[in-house]
Amino acid sequence: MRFNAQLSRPEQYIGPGGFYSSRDDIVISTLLGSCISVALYDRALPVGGLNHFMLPESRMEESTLGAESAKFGVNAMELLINDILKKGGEKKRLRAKVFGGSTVIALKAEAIINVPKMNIEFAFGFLDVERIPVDSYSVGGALARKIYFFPHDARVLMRFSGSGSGIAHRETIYSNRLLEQERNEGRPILF
Amino acid sequence: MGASILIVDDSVSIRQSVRFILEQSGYTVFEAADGLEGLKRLSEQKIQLVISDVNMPNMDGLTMVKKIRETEGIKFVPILVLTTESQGSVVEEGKKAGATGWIVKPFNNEKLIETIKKVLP
Repeated sequence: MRFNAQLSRPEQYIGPGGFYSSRDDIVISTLLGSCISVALYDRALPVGGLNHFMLPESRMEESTLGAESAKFGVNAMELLINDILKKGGEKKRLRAKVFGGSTVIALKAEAIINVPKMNIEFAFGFLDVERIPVDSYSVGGALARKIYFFPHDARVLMRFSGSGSGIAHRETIYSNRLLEQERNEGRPILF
Repeated sequence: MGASILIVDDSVSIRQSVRFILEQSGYTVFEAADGLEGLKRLSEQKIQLVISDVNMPNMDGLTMVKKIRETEGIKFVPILVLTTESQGSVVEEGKKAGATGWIVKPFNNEKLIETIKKVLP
């Protein structure tokens, strides 16, 4: 963790597929393109965390929670929720802020599926089903977003960033990695 | 009607997504939101397989597995643990508790169904 002099706090950066939660007065940051970040927090402790995920493109047919690709989103959310619960947070007290889902690359003409839109719909659908209230959000559009989340007081600083191409590339790598990972690592163990 | 499977998970989304996959393969699905509710379901319903999460409020998955293994009438039901926990020590705990198998999320649908077929009596 590096020290962010401007924000006078230690800063934990998370990349695509990452998540981090803390009870300390730190800042958790990420850079988002079409991916989604959900900030989750229990103000009573306080404890909060941020994730950075997407639903992999090639499996996407629908955004319902039962759909094949949605389980990657469910998994990303569950990892963060469990991490917060382990640090003493209570599921009933969790609240959320949602960011991302921008169209950082021009959608291909032949693309049937609008990936950013699917990611956004998934995030709100999940939070709705799990009865986690959304306090604020900034989603969609064409610009990348830099997010700074303060788990201590659930505050978020956000700034738009124009340099979308690098992010789009990283997110594509991440999407492919997800599918690869599922093929290779999801091996059940029988005792 | 396919075999009856009980899903124990505190997340509605996970239960929905597992239910969707199991029903597509013809299984009959029951749900419980934690270990306590899982035990209650097992006492009321003829269940042929349990799929359970680990981290849950009220009663966690591994405690439920131990209780099932101590309870006459249900002690031999196969139990697959479906979890984000992949750490060796936790998996070992699951084995000791009496789980039949361990699947780390995000799981592969085909592998999940294959595993279910292997462990169903």
